[in-house]
Amino acid sequence: MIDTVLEAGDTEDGVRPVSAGPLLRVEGLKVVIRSGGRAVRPVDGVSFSIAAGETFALLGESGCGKSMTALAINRLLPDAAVIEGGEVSLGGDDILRLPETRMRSVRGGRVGMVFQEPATSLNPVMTVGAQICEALQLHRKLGAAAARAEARLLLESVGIPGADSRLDDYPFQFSGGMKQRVMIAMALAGRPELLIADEPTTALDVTIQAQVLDLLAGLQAERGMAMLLITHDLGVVARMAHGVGVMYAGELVETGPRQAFFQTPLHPYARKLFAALPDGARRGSMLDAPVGSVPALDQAFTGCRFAERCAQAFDRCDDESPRWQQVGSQAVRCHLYDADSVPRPLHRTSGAAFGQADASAGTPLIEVRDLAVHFPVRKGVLRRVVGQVRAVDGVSLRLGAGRTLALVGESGCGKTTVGKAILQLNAASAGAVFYKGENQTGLTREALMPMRRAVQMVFQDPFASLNPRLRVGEIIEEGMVSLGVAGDGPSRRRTVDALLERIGLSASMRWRYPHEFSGGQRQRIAIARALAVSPDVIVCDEPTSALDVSVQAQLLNLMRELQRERGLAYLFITHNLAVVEYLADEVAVMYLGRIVEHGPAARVLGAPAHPYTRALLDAVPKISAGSSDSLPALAVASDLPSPLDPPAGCHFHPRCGLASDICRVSYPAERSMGGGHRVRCHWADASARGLRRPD
Amino acid sequence: MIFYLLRRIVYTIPIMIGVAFFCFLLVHISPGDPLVSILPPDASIELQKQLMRLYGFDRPWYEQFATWFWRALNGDLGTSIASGRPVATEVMRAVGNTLMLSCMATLIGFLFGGLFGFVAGYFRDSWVDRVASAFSVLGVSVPHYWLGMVLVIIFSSWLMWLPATGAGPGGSGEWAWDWAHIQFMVLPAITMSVIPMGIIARTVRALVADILAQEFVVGLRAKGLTDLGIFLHVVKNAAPTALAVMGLQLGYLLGGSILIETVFSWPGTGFLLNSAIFQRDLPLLQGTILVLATFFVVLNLLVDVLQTTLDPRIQRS
Repeated sequence: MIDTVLEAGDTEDGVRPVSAGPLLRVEGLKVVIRSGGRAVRPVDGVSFSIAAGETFALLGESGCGKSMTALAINRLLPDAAVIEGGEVSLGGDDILRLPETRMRSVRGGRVGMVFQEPATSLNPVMTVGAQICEALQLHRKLGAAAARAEARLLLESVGIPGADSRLDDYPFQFSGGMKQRVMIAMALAGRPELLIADEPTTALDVTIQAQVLDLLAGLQAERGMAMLLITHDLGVVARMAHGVGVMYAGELVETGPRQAFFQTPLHPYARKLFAALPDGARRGSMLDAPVGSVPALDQAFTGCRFAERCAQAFDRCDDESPRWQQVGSQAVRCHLYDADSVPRPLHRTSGAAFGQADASAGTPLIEVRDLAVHFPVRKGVLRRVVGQVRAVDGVSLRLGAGRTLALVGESGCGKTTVGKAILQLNAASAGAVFYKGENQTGLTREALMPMRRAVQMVFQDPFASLNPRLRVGEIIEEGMVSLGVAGDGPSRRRTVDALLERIGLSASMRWRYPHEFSGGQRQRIAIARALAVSPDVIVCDEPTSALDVSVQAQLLNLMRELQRERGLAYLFITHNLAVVEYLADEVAVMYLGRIVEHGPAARVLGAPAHPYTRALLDAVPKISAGSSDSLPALAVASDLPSPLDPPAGCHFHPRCGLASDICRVSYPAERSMGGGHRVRCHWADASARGLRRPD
Repeated sequence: MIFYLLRRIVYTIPIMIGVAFFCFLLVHISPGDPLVSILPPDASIELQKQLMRLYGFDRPWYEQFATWFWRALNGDLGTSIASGRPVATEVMRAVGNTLMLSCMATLIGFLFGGLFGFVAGYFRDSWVDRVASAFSVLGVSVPHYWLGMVLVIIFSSWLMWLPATGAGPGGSGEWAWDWAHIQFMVLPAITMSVIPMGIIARTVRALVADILAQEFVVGLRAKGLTDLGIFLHVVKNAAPTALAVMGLQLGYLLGGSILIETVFSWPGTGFLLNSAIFQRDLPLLQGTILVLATFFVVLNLLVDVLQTTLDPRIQRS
């Protein structure tokens, strides 16, 4: 242990060569899943190594075999999956040949694991203390009292306040970020040499993600652990990794140190991943998404697996599987580098190309005035109202025809409730929603019809938002029938066919069921369903957050085209600021039921005046080649407070670095920063200059 | 916790009053005069009226209900028309016998159903699962009175291992926990346990399969737990629901064992109900149903409380 700590200390700016005495070495690992005569190979000859104190990131989209690789290292594969070949050695021990009894001391002892979904990765009916103690008693042979004391230290080390009393709490009493911290504490219980983190922050908000990533990086440096980080997020890789491996269709296609990789990604697939990322610099231009999807893994590949989606593919790519080529410090499997070809550095379009901020042209399609949605909390026999959850508490918005307004905030801030209240799916407690100047609140079902037709919704989860028992054609047609648009049966069917073609599917697919489609395709179907009644406005509630980057890029391209063709207005509810930068004309930042900053996207994101907006922007891991280990200037601490009992004064003050006495007493009034940019902060000027309150 | 318990007990009071009311009404609106069976066919109108007055049938129904309910609260369920003995004594003795039988049957059903369910859930889609599932489907679908008769034919008539009917050498009311008595319980208990066994097995199988598919199970394995350790985690997760199902099954058995008790002449509530219905013994019928319903409510209360202590996610408010 001592050697590894020293070793971790003597590297310069955290980047270390991959070959420095590897702790974990994976060589030609192959996993096969056999079912009903088919053999699927999710991991097909993967090799990499990780040194102590180093973080190696496996990067790739869903279904490319990242998680299977991680499970195989721990021999935790599902029953149907078998390790077909290869070698895994951990500190010299041949993991694949260890007897199962010794393997158990490796799992949780020498190798700790953190999973993606903190909500489901803890036993729901046991206290977190009991679950951590279980690992301690198992691997460190501690007695009950000693284990409890150690568990408390572990909870403290992962930054859980009041660790002593929280040991006796159950998982459901923790927030998502806190649960993930508990998970990390549990993984650390056996003092692992290697920590495998499988998408550890994907299910968390950006602010929480930043906290958890910092925690992981800190713990790793402190304990000199090696870390295998599995992620699809280039930003997370840039922030955390020393070495990077890009996986595609069961194979590694590129490996290299972080810096070199982010400067010059070599493999065309890796380049596509960068090109598919939305951001402000790509506004107004199409995102360069790879066409098609990952090939099925039950076939025998002859050529390069990426060839059919690769713009640079040539004949040889179809016939011959490329071998590893060393290019500088990187290694890549691509025929483009067979000869002594020189890689071009990644070309990034630069310069902010924000559209002109033409905020309030004419009557807005949708206007929300001082909207409030309160949910009563009832208790006792008589169901007395004992409190109000102020999910939405005085929100005003305007959305003009053909424009995109992004509503941004952490989960639980009330943004989805605003979307639903606009469609009158939630009753407003106060305030009004206007569609084309007409107040929609309190109208009857019939009177709501014109607005219901004109304002449609696309939901976050494409797997849950389509009725699995209806055919795609019926799903799209249903809205037309109930709202009585698009004429008789045959003409409706023509509309459905045209819509299917328009969203990039074929008309013959109208007979299929939702489960036959991928997530991205389903989300397109959801859009087609919304478009079927020719709406003016689509409320999109996190439409891309369940999708991979390349699929997200395809969907964003489609949405942008549809907006241009049909003059659609989007209310885009999201927590993804990169998407906002790419798509939105205006941004409204929401915190605990209120809009704290509002204005043209260029101004709000370019010169944020509210500390919360700045914190959100800072929390997004930056994709840059340089070292990004420095902490964000205004990281928010702790979780979102409860909307049942919001903090007095400015709701944000307990998490704000600028907060002073006045912030604790009075909620700031709205003030203009010019150019339609409005903010509610007592310290907006200081905040806009990027200052921190001197302590 | 104490407040939760108190509150739950208070909640049962309106339920009990409602139950009592429906018991009373149900029997009251059914056709047929209860006095017919004890009156001689040639009884004079005078005699009829006298008896009506004696049993209180001449007063308005709400008065009858109030009197009946007040007496029931004091433990007096009236007098059986057929036997002339106090209903409370009759019912209580029968309840004791039924409780014994149903608890035994539920225990058998829970043990084997749980076992089958766990095995089937753990080895889903293997032959073990298919055998266990076939058993449980069979258990739910076979008519149990028929099964009872078949068991009697096999074990009593052919093999002569076990007695066919009755509750022991001393008749009803003289039970003792020795083989001379217990052997009378074996066949009815097994027959009775078949349905809860099937239902519990199906429930547990689905539960276990659900739990094993959850991510935290991979987490447990990644923690280095043995299979036994993981099994204990699974049991802890499955227990609340399994227990709830068991409690409900016990409730059903308490009231719904008329057929089996009749087949085996087991002197329990089912048997009592059966004869009360055929003899139009109104007070006995009302009393029995009331007591059974009370059991059901109390049982549900117990199950709820137990579930709350086992599953921390169920709110105690």
